Amino acid sequence: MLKVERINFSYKDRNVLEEISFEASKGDIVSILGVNGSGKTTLLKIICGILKPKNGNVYLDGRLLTELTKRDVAKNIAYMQQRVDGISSTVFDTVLLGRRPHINFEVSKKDLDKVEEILTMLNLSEIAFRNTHELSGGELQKVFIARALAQEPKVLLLDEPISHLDIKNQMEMMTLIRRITKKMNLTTLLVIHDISMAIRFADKFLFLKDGQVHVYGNKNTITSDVIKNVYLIDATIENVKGISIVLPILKEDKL
Amino acid sequence: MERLVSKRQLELNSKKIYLNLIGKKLLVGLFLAFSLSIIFFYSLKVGSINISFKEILSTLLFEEKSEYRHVIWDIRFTRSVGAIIAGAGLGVAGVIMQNVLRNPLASPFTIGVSQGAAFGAAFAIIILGAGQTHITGNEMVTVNNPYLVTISAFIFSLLSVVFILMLSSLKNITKESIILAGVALSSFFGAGTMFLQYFASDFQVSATVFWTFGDLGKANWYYNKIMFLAFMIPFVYFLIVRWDYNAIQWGDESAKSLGVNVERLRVISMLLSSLIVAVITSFLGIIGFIGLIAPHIMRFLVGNDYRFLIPYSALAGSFLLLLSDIVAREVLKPVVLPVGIITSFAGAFLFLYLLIFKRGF
Repeated sequence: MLKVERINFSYKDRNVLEEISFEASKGDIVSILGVNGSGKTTLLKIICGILKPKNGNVYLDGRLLTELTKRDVAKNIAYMQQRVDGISSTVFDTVLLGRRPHINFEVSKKDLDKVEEILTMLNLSEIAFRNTHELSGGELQKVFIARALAQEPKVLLLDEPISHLDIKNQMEMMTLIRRITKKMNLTTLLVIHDISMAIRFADKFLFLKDGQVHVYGNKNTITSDVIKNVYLIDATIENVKGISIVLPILKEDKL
Repeated sequence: MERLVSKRQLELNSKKIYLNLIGKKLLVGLFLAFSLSIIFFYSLKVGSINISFKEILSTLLFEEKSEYRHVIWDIRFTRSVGAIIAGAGLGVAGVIMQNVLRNPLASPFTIGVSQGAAFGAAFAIIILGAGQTHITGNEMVTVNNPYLVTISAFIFSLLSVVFILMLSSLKNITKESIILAGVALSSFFGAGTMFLQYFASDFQVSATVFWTFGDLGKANWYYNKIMFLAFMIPFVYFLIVRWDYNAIQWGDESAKSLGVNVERLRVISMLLSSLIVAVITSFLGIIGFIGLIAPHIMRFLVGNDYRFLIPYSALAGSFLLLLSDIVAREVLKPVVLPVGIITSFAGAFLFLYLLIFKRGF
């Protein structure tokens, strides 16, 4: 169980997050939604300890995260950032780096076994010794998710995991995220801009507006009003073959 | 079922391939160590007195009986050991600086640390009186108070480090700007050294000029021991935290999410690598390009894995410096050139070669 309690954060004089509180259970996928600059990425960085909040606390299974060492936090929470300036490295070595919080001095058999298990689970074995520079965007995202999973986390934080992917890769990536979350009983928080995709794959939805929680809840909480309030745009939510799709509307559209 | 089998095969293969690659990287290290041993032995033959390999070997094994004991042990052996330690130190300092500054052009020479150390050494010799130099039988200028010179060199090299660290912490600073700042620092310390020399005595000037040359002729057992200590302590630390260097290559946030205390690592690493450089520079003078080239050569051979890059940069640095010193002793025989001239010449060409012909450099 992940519990975020009254988090406040500001960059110099600008308040970015105010009184953010929510809880997420194991096996939950929580989509974090909101306009650009609403504090979504900042929230993820605070949860994994990259940024320190002005005040407020993050608890994991009842334990305050600030009481843990950085290494122990990394054993529990994995963060995949939005953009990574990669270096030349094989996929195997990149995923192996995810074992860093568990490695004391040298790689153990358990570390290698874990990397293999994850590479197999994510169907990356065949490209295990390709250079990360040679990979497509979709493959690279998968490698970073594999690296995050190598940390054996309880909480997975993904910052815009499908932003740079084509529609096929987006579907594959979201399916993968859902599969591993359920299979490994993780708590997954993901920042996403595509509300339709979020409705289709996530369990809970956290809408941020002006650094505050506007709405937090399940699918039923997403309404045209919420979207209008958060994104300042009219939208309808249509149902196509049982799938909810958010359709933004402009004044000139004749629907 | 067929799919399960093929997956298992892939698993077995990927682990096998990984271990195979590790084995190959270890072989590179062994080859480097072997090559270093060979040129080390050869370096004992290089000098104005012609001594055969057989005589060298017998001197090394049965030193009491040999007439070449003094030449082999006290001059050539000392000099070559000095080259190995200094080369290793510069190579390691370079690879660590390139990592924590996330800049492939970073090295003690390019970010002004060497020049800061040289200025510190000059300052100690001329202003603080550590430079009551004397001419030895080999026409080498030595310093009476190496502690003072080293401490002063360290303090001024730290000034460069603090400046570069502050600069690199600025958000909108580019990698090129850091190197340009290094050029400015080098120029600043160079001017400072010249200023001190202008008011110094002939002996003091000769001592400080000697530093700018970077010469292994200054090596002696006492210096070698201190250089070895100044190299080993940071080297062990670097090896212990080598996974953190692997993590930091993917960016600060990536490293932090893997549990690395990035700020602490950066400060400690820069301090320790500048300590190595300061000690080497205060004893031997400025030796350029080893710290830049050695890590890049190893990167081509073993990739970006710091488990190998750190020790191999040390080996490559030793190899390059010893080889340069052999060239320095041979090229204008019987005149022995300061090794700094050779490393700068060779380094410049090697660097340009890597830049032009090796993509992704």
